[in-house]
Amino acid sequence: MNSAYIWIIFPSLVAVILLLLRKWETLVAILATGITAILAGLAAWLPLQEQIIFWRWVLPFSDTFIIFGRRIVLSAADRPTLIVIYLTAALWFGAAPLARPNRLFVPLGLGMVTLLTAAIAVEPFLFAGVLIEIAVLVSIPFLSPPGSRAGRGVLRYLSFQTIGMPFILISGFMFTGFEVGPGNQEIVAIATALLAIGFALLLAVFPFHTWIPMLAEDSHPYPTAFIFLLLPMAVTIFGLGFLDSYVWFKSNPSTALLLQLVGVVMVVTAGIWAAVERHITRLMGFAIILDIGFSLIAIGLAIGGNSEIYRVLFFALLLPRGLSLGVWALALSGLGGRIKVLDLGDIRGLAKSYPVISISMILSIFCMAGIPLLAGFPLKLGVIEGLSATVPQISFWVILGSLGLIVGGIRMLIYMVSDADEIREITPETRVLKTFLVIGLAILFILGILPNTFIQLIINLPAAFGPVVP
Amino acid sequence: MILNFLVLPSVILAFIAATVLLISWDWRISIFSLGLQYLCVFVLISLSWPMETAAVKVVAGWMAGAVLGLALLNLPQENINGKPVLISDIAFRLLAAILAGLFAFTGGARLVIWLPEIDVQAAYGAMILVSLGLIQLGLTTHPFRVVLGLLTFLSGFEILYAGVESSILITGLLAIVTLGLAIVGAYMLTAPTLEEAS
Repeated sequence: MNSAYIWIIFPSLVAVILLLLRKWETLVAILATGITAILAGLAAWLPLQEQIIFWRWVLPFSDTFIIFGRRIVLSAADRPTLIVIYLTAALWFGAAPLARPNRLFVPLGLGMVTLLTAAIAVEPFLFAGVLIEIAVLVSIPFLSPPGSRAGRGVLRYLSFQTIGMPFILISGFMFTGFEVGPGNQEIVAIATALLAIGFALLLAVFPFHTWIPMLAEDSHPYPTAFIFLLLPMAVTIFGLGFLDSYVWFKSNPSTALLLQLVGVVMVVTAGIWAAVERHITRLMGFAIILDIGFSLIAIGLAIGGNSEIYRVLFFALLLPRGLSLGVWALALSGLGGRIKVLDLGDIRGLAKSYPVISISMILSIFCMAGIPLLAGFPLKLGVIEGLSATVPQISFWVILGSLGLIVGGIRMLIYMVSDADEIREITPETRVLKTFLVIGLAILFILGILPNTFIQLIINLPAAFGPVVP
Repeated sequence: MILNFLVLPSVILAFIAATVLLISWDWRISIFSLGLQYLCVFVLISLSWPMETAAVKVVAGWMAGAVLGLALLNLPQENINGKPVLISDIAFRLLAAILAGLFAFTGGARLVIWLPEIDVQAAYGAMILVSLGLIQLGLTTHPFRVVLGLLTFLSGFEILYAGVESSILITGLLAIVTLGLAIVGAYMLTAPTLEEAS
């Protein structure tokens, strides 16, 4: 028995089987939800020892899988990441029948999850770039489903992710030349620049951010939000692994400052665009750019000073992001077919016709912007406080960026509550959809009102599996 | 290396093939140029790798071309050749290709200082393909052209990377990426004609 068999090879085989069964959408969603939930459960409860006792059998258990001389390691330190990834997938697949995305979404989505897990586990870690690229290729059919033309957003997403991979691979090779310490300063500067360009392309850092709003506009909101959540999550965790491998690079104050500056630029630019955006799915794109910016600031703070707190904060930020995006995407999917164009002008009177959908969208935006009483607030406040303590000159701009997203949300709210020009034929929100949205909103509130319980849980999670922070 | 005498012609041929990819609107010519380009990639990679390993690149590249070609063969012709050919368009693309060639000539020489493991002629070939691939990507929104641009860009990178990394796993993974790009390209070309899945 091997950890790679459980969390990579087995779900890959399941993904292939589900692809063959895709005709039965609900069954596929139930199977995928069940299996990913079990895998998340196994990551939490499977004992960390060299043998697993199963009834009468004693099975040897290893956390390392060797393929062509390279290792895939899913050790104790990776267990929290596995829980986060598979739990996210379970929640997403569970609500898929309500959102009614393309039939390929669940099987290929599961395939993508396994590839990203392999990307986090592969050693040397620079091979992760190629696995992330294969995951991107797997995602294209559910973003551009059969019967539709590939939009510009999908093409740009594919292009930027493909161009990003070589930068990561080449810079990774250059970095292996100075594992112990920096050598030639010119080569170090070039390797750093290549690495920065690679990650900027993968993480949609300004000016390579354009694929996110374009993809949000072109594709079904539910699979798009799944990409927006999973891909940056895997890339940032991979980036953290990269930083941990080169202590001299990590401990250089310029690295932390650069990450913080890039994060601030993402927050500010996304905030400005969100404030003036008229298309409500593009607004979701800008919100995710803003959130990735916060994650980068948290990483910058984690490597710059108080490592443990901000590393926990980085992981903690993923939960409200996932929940907000899930609620937002489900609400937008609920509008699918009811409203043809999702421009601000077309959503007049929406709050009257579809109150739960409207409230869900507004609160998701506010949660991602960091409004008090919602799940995002305590974590974003922590990031802003940390930034104020280290680089007070730029922390103001982060608040400005968040305000931009709040302005975008308020504009949307104004249009939603204003009277519609024409009487719209109303198909009522389904009870199941309303139940899912209300549960999602309730969790957003509970996490916002009781932040300590939630943060304590996040702090205890890595400790339960041994030391994560090197 | 047995193919040493073919290295310089391969660099020149790679430039010509990538330029033809940039200016040609006929998909048959484009697929043929792609095949030719991968042959040049094979010669340039064989400077760093044994020939049998370098052959993986040409096989993957030709299979990618075949996948795209088969997809296009089954499409109605009006879906493929979108735009009429304009002289000014061709002139612009040619000029861009020449500028990219000049950039590759200067950039390639600089590259071998940063990555001394790479042969200078391979660096020229790689830079030509990388820059022409990027130009192709910047000038189109058609899925077929985008995939051609990405394959050109990636083949340039593979020449560079072969000089520094010879792992079998990475060779296999990059071959999967090449084939995957072609399959995704073929899917995007045929998707509008496929039945709605949901």
